Amino acid sequence: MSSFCLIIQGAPSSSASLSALNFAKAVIGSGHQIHRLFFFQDGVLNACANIVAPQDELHLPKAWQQLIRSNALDAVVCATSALKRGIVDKTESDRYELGGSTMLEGFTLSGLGQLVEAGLEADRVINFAP
Amino acid sequence: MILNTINKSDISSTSLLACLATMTNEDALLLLEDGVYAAQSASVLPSMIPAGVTLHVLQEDLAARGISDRISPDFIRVDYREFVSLALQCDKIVSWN
Repeated sequence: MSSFCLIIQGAPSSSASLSALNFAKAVIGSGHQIHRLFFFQDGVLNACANIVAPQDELHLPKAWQQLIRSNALDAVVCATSALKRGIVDKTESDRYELGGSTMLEGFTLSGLGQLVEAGLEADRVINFAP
Repeated sequence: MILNTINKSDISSTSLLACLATMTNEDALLLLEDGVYAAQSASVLPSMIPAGVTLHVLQEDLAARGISDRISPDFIRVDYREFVSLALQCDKIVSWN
């Protein structure tokens, strides 16, 4: 069994997010492990709780959330990228006196250190950018 | 051995050209998303790829673009599970953007 770290830099509106989701499912389906999902740059929008997808399209943030929940994955959202794009958890919302969390449950705000750690620990790192 | 992934069309981006310049004969190339257009038989790119490089193209993205039957025979069609295996066969993965 091998472990992967996936870097997701594409927003839910990009092909990159869907490719990364399909790759993550194939990693799990092949009996390998996902050490960490790292959502970076516009990829943090996959953690946005306020995205509404047309009924006939895949709702990528919800699809990610489902994958994270059902496999207990470590899903880290880059805090600097997230705050710039209006994605905040309860703590950040309180700190900046915003209107409440805009981040889906299952995702965790953290920093680039988590990416460095995953790069050292995982067998492979793969980047999905738009 | 490096797996190089290309996700942009060779018409709109020079990333495939830049990637080809760095590849050595043990490396692998995988085209996905709009990158799959370069696998078409009509594309001049298959002829520019260094000998010994293994060529792969993601079947799902070919089908999404309706070009499954136009692919150069030099390319091996892979699904996502084969993509995962390929990533493990190579020492590292370079995603050209």
